[in-house]
Amino acid sequence: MNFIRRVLMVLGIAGAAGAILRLKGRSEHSTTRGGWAPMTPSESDSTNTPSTKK
Amino acid sequence: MFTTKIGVLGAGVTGVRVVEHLQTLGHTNILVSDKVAARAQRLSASHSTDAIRVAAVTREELFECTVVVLACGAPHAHMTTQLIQRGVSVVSLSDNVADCMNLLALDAQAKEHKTVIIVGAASSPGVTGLLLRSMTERFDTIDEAHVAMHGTGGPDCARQHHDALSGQSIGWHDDEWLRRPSGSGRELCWFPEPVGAYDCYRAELPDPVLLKKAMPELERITARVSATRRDRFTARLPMLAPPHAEGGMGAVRIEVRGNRGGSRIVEIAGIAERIAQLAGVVSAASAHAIATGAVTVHGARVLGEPELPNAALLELVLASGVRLHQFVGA
Repeated sequence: MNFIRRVLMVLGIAGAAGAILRLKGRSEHSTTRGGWAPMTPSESDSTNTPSTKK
Repeated sequence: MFTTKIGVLGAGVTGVRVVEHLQTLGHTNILVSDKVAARAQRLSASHSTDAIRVAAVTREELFECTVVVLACGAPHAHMTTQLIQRGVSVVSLSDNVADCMNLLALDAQAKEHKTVIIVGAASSPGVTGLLLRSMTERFDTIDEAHVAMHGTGGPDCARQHHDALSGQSIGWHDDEWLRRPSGSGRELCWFPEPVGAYDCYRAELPDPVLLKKAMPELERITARVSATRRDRFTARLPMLAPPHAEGGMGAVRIEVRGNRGGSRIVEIAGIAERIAQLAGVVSAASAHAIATGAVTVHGARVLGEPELPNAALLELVLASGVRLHQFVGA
């Protein structure tokens, strides 16, 4: 009985530690300043345009 | 007006957008099939007009089409095999890694039957390949591409997102494929407004595999997806609640690094749009390009490959009202 309790306790502690490690942590910021502006794709390579009229 | 028969398998949220965009592009003969026949019939009834035929058909009747868009849940490989053996080209929206690999493995068979398979023609993968190719023009050389995505389309997409967070992520790093546990590698990514910033994590996404095929010179490729704590905590469990009919506003961004004029340059492009809408527009544009003969190559292809008319496809996507943004001032 004691053995089962110990195993359950170890599993519980391991699970809790795993959950904390998975949910906590610091984000790595990919970009920290700036903003979004409308963009026009480059106009080169615009040959072979599929027509929408026939 | 184009009378070429185009098929759409899947009449869910994304399938509806595919049909709508095909109509916008001038297609008047569209066949729709779904595992729930009533759903295909409803789509047919709501989108058919005197000039436009949207017919609900059985799966077998799709073999009459020139090109079929697979807008249903994965796997797509089996249906694709059947279609290409009958000379039908395929546009797949699958974002399942194993399924995408199986589709790429059909390359020789597609060439043999003179058909084309566009693998991962959705938002991510899909529009990310088009953006990558477009942004290449701004560099002398590029060596890194990092993709992040927020949001989901329909219920199948939400299930795939859930599963992706419990598998193994794939990333290309200095000439080798690295596998890392999904849900690791937290990075705060900024998406175009109104989405804003979300924590994104590695996940089992096919983007690195497909972008590597589109641009073999890349040395580092990663793909991340946004997730909440609950998403990560419950990733290995079955979905606790049924997914929404459609996710809210989503976004995709791609960060490309390379050299220009001897300097190290980073460029970031992004799109904020409903994921199903974006996927529908990209796949419909791809199907349109195949049906009108703008795609002249055969085999399994991914968007962004130099043999495809990427600029023209991106133009069609943007013409549908999708707004492209660039991150400036970083």
